[in-house]
Amino acid sequence: MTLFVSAVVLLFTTPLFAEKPDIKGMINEHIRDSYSWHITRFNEREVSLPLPVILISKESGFNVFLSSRLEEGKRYRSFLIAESGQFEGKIVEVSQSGSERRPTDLSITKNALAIMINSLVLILIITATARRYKKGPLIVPSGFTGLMEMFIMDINDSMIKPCVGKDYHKFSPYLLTAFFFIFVNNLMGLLPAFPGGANTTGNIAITMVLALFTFFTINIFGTREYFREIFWPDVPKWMKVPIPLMPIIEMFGLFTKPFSLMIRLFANITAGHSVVLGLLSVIFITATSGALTSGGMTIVSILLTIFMTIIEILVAYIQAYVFTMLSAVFIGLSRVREAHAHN
Amino acid sequence: MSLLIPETGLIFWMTISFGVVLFILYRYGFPIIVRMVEERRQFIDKSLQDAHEANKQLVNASTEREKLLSAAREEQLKIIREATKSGEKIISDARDEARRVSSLELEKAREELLREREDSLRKIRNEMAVISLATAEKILRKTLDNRDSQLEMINSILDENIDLRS
Repeated sequence: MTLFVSAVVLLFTTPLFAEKPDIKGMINEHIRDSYSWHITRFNEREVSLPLPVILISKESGFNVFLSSRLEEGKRYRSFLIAESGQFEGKIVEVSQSGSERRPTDLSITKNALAIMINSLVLILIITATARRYKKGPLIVPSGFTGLMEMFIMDINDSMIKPCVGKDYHKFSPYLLTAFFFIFVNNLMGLLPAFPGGANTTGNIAITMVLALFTFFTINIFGTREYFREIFWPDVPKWMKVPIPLMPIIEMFGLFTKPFSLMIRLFANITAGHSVVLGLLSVIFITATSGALTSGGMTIVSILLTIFMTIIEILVAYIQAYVFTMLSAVFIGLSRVREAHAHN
Repeated sequence: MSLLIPETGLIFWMTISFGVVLFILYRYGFPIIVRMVEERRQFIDKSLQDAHEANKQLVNASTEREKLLSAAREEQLKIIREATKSGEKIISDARDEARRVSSLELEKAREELLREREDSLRKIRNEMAVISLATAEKILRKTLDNRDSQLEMINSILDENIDLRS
């Protein structure tokens, strides 16, 4: 009996691993971009895909080399990956005087490559769907093409058409591209390993570009009435004549719209990835307490991770949908007609 | 904090990638799909409408045919009825005609007969008168060969006449 109790106690308390895992570092590493595509650790060796580093520096000009040259703090030419400070995790150029400077960095990073792969996947899927129609419009597609047709037409008819309004035909290709681009990237980000797993839509640079595309679409195709409402809105005169109070607020709104698009997508996807990784890390955290605790928590952790991953699939769709719908609404708002505005 | 700072390189590659995707899908992707599906939708709508129209026409045609058929049947009945009637009329006319003709013939025959009888009667009468005159002459010649008998005769005749007048 005593033996059993002590065995149980031992199982609960004896750590399997002495080392405490660096959960925060792991999650951060996953969420952030990196110069090489880390795949796994095999036989104590890191297996990763080296990616091209492209640097334009004022001192040494144009530099192209593989990221494997900078692995584990190695230095190549005058470049190295900063381990701390302002440019932590980024490539810096160390000048003769010893000071670190950031060159123009056009490296094809993990996220850049992931974007290209995902773009290719998207182009293949959509053009394959479109190619089926070469035989004529009366052939009803089946299988995957049929699914894609249903998916595309659902987005087109139930979201873009009502949100943009009358001349939605002009904008539906852009909005559909945005939707499927985000959706494919979200889903590819949920795959656990290469060529998925990159946190593309959870990267602020990528959501920024998407938001900028929407911003330019809104303002390039905006009607005169839309701009009049910004610079000369229908408010009492004192609110716009000596100090252009309302125009300033409206101008501010011009930029907050795409800004909210950028932040929303970035935050949702990043948060989703963090939660999934955090839940998965419970396994490694509890691994330091006994075997039974660890075993129990492993089951709990895996169940929660599966649950969260399913939620993330939903979020992948919802966030793509929300981004596209808001873009469509903003475009629709920028297409106001004079008669419509005065009603 | 670096999580919130967009990387120049990534912005560059993302702009290119998204631009290429947008360009390709704008030219070879979504507009084709949307157009084709809308064309098909229009075609289906049109076909449905056509089918509806055709159905309506079919119903119309069948009622039309029914109407025509019943009209024809009526016409047929009418024709038959008329034909029967006219046939009957012809027969009755013919019968009337025959009757009329035969009665006419009969009348003629009767008249002929009557005339013939009269003729013959007249002939007989004439004959009889001649015969009786001859006979009477002969008788008279025989009996009135003397004066007495002649006077007696005259007196008897006179008596008879006076008798008749009184």
